[in-house]
Amino acid sequence: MMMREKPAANFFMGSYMAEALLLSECGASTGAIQIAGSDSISQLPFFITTCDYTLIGEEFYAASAYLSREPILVGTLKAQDLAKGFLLALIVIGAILSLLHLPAWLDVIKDFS
Amino acid sequence: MGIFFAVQYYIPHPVTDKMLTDLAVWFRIISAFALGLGIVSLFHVHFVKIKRRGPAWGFSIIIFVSLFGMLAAGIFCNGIEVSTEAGKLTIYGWLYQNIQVPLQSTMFSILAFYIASAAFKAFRAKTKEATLLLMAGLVVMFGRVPLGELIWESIGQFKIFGINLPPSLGDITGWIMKVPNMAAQGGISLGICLGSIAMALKIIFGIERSYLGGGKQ
Repeated sequence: MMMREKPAANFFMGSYMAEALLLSECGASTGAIQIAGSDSISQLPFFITTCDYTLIGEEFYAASAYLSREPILVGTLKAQDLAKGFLLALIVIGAILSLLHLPAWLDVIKDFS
Repeated sequence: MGIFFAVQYYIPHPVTDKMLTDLAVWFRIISAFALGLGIVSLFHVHFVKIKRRGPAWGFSIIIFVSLFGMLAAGIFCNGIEVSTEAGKLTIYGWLYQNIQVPLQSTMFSILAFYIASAAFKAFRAKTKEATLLLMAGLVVMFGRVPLGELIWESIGQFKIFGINLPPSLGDITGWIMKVPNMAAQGGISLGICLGSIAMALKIIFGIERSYLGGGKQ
């Protein structure tokens, strides 16, 4: 269908499996501008190689906030970043406690998270 | 409903378990309606195409023939592929095994060529990062085939301070897959998890309504 109708742009958004490369490579061969966004980690490399722009993982969920600039939606992104920072801090603290062989404190973090 | 599904996970009780089981049945019924909606949409698109004699309208006829043919065969054979009495394929099983499976295999066998083409694009050493990717890719590819290991072993090993050098190709491949690759995947997974939780909350509380159509709130 892409070869026949030659669309100017292709958007691949959502969860993909083996069909990801079939579609995106076919689209790339027609010379169309391609934008992909997916949370399927195993298919992301294929999208990155065959599409002009790829929204990787969480960027896919942030796209609507980025495009609409709606303050509430942008606010949720900031909250998301804060949560990510908090989780990263927990991971770093957990790694340090693990290296220092402090299992009791490690269990507290495990129970907490 | 969304809040209930999230909260139920933290209240393991027979009452909430029973509610979850009942809601799962509802979920299946609603999903069936979604499937029906998809079929109606497919009908509409292709019926209009045939009516207007649009480009490649012949393919739309094939869609109808395939859909109704498989549906009729499935209903006629009660969804059974192999007849237990005769031990032979039913019409439905024959259509599935001899038409659908080969068609799927043909389509996915094209993937091998597309992967080669995508690999060529990814492994062009244009930048430092691409060169690094190329080298890591080559090492992992060689490490995953017996021939690569054989060539690597032919180089030979020597010991410095009790450490075998160079390390085996399997060890290098394992390190690449388990450390830098897993770290990157973990980072992306973490983002996806938080993103999906945030998106679920936005949909449950009605903040994000673009999926219902229309851009503005």
